[in-house]
Amino acid sequence: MVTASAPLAGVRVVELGDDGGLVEFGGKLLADLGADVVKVEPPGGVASRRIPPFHGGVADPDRSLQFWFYNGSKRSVVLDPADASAPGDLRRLLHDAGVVLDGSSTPVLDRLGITASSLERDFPGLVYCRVSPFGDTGPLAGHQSSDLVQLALGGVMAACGYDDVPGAPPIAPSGGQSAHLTGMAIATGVIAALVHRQRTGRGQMVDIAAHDVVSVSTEMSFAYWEYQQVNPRRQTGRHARPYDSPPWNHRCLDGKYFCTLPLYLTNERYAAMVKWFEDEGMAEDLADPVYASDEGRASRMSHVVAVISRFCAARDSSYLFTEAQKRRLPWAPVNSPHDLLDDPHLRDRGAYCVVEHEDVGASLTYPGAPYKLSATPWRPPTAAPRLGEHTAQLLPAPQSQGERK
Amino acid sequence: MDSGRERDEPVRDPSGVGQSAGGTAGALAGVRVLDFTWSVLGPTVTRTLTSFGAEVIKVEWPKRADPMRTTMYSAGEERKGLDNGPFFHNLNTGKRSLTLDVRSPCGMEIIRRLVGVSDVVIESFSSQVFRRWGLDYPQLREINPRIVYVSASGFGHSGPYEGYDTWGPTAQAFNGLTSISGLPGHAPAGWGWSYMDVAGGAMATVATLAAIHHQVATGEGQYVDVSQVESGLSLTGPSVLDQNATRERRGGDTSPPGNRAATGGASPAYGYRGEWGAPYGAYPTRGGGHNDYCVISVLADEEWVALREQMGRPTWALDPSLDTADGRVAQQDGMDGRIAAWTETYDKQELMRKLQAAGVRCGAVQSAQDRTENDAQLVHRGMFPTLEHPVLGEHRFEATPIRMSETDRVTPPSWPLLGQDNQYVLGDLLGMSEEEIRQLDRDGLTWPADLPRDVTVSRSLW
Repeated sequence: MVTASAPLAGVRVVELGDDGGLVEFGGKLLADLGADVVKVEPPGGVASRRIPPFHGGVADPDRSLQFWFYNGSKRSVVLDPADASAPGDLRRLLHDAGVVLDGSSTPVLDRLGITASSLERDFPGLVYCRVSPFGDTGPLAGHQSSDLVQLALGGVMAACGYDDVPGAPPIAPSGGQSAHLTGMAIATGVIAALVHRQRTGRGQMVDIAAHDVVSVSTEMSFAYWEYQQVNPRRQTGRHARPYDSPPWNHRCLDGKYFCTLPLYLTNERYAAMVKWFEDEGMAEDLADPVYASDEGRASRMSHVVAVISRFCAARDSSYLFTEAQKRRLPWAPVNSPHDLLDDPHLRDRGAYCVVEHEDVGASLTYPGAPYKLSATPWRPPTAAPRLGEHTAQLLPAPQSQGERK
Repeated sequence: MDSGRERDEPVRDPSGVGQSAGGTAGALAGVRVLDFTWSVLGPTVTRTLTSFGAEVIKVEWPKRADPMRTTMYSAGEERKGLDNGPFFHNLNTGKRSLTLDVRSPCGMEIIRRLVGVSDVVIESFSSQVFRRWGLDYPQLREINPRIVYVSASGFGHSGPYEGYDTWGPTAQAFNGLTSISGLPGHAPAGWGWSYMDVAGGAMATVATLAAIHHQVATGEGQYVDVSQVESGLSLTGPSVLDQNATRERRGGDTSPPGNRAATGGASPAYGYRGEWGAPYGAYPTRGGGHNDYCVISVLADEEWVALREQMGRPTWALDPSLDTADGRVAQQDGMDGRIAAWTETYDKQELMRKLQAAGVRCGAVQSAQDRTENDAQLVHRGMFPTLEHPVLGEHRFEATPIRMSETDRVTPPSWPLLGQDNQYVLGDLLGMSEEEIRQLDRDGLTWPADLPRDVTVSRSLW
């Protein structure tokens, strides 16, 4: 090919199991980087095919938006574990693979009677990535998991929530973030192992547990405990800390919230902010010299923030964004994901891509990859496969028992 | 696509990657990274690279040192310096430190020589900085054609907002991640930290490794432009698809969904957790403390039956309309209060053990203390190894959450104490003599002439 190819072009990935939905995003990241990802599904399909909402409101395994998003560019093979030919088919798929992502409840190696020591002999050079909620050994091995369970045990919920809503529980942000974090770790570990294989010819086992990944995703919480023996407290819309802090997000005239991060109000930024507020007649007393220094502001930040809040309440969020950024204030509206599809910057960057779903006559806008690689660009997805769409192609008869639609 | 050929004929370092830097352990052993990143996003990338055995040289000027050096101190810390910030060192384990005035012609010449002997250059400045320094990608490539140049910035290095300033919280506000966290009808709860520094850093790590993979295969470098804001877009994927598939905005004031996976009603709103079912939420447990909660997720009818049994088959739970997921989703409000009245009688860890033994998806809401002191699984997995830090002493540190059988994670025995590795970098890597290095120091090029070596800072940022 004359045009640049994606960085993982030529790498075959077999994606297995997926009982807990933990491997799909990792497989997607590898597919976006050009890997050929073959998804092995049971008859009826993986769990994510049954997650609503469905395109057109029709509950159909080929219409789940959840499945579509995480499985673009992949191929689908249906393999019935109850079939006598299943172990042989699985071995064939694994043999043709450079990478296996195994999120099955029972590891595929156990099912096929492959030991760690025979792995290299049977599948030389294979990068075998085992993905589980907690790891396959240890006191929590085998425990039942969910996105919520991971966000609770991993410390995310202890940090997210409200300090101004009486009785509010700890909050688990939505979106399926435990699987996202796990997926990024999968892609990271797998590509590192591929680099090692390039240099030595040797494959290896990569072992990823969602609980490990989520537990080190909370930035300062661990260090607060290790070095100060305190647990940070949840505070609405801002960093959890062991002490109280003034709010960041203020409601604007248009009803949207606006994030006015006060953490990095240097003297220069503060002066620019006050000048702006003065120009619009709403600086109140902020030009007083007592606020001119870090120390002076730190002890009076609640008042500074109250003035910012009043300023925001009288303006629209889009105006605040443009004007704040002109003054190098690192502020931004609290957008909903839906607000962004027409954003001029994201459009200019090509941050979204359009995926054609010819089967249902739909053309949908997908978020794209967040990185531009100049020599080996990422590959926009094609529509996710129908259940078993590639069974015959990848497991030619007579071994194939796959569904054909 | 012939993955077999790829396996059988490994490309053995045509690029020369790994033939210059020291160290033998790890998948990236021998890969040298020149690291201009600061704060959290970029250092997250390079911390992971050190755990794969890469040699990371962090370049700073003490007068503009990484602000995380002064973010948080140990309890009772008397002298707040630049080398004893615990959060900083947890984030920068295994790295080396070079102090250099890169704004001087001599300093920039040294940087250009270092680019020549490095494999990766990474920075997280605003987009103009490297251009101003004469180090944009075309110029870097002239110095070293196989260099991988990674920029990890807020809005990326092009487009109308290219010059805009962002920090983690700004990025997650803008890209929708703040808005998807919270209770219906309330202001967003957002994230209790810069999630987009962590997740953006993880995405940038993937991109960096992809470029190294290509570099090892072909000897070719490239420019990797990562946007922290865009890193969040694919973390809300299904809800974006739903919006443009249905041409309607579901949920309205029921979005975000609280802790739920689904909300019922005539126009159902989805939690977009990749799961569907009820009950699904956080319930208070004995003690009534800040983190005395357990979560319970019922994703199948048999799990509901198991939970009902554990609760002792209360009359309300035997209502047949609760036997289906749709029925339970529609009646979550009524169920949650009753479940909470039951969970309140248990300690959170005790309840988790009880329900997990019955096959119910249950987890304690764990504080930092819980995870660090009471989580035997994390100990078993080796997630908080104890290391000896030259200033902080013996402490636990966070590990990279990836285990590997051949090239397992490592922590190189170095810490980025400011200027700690000047001798190594200038002498061993660039071949400068002792006298040349001393002269640089006398000229104020490796430490500001007017700044004490053991500088004390006046306050912690946070």
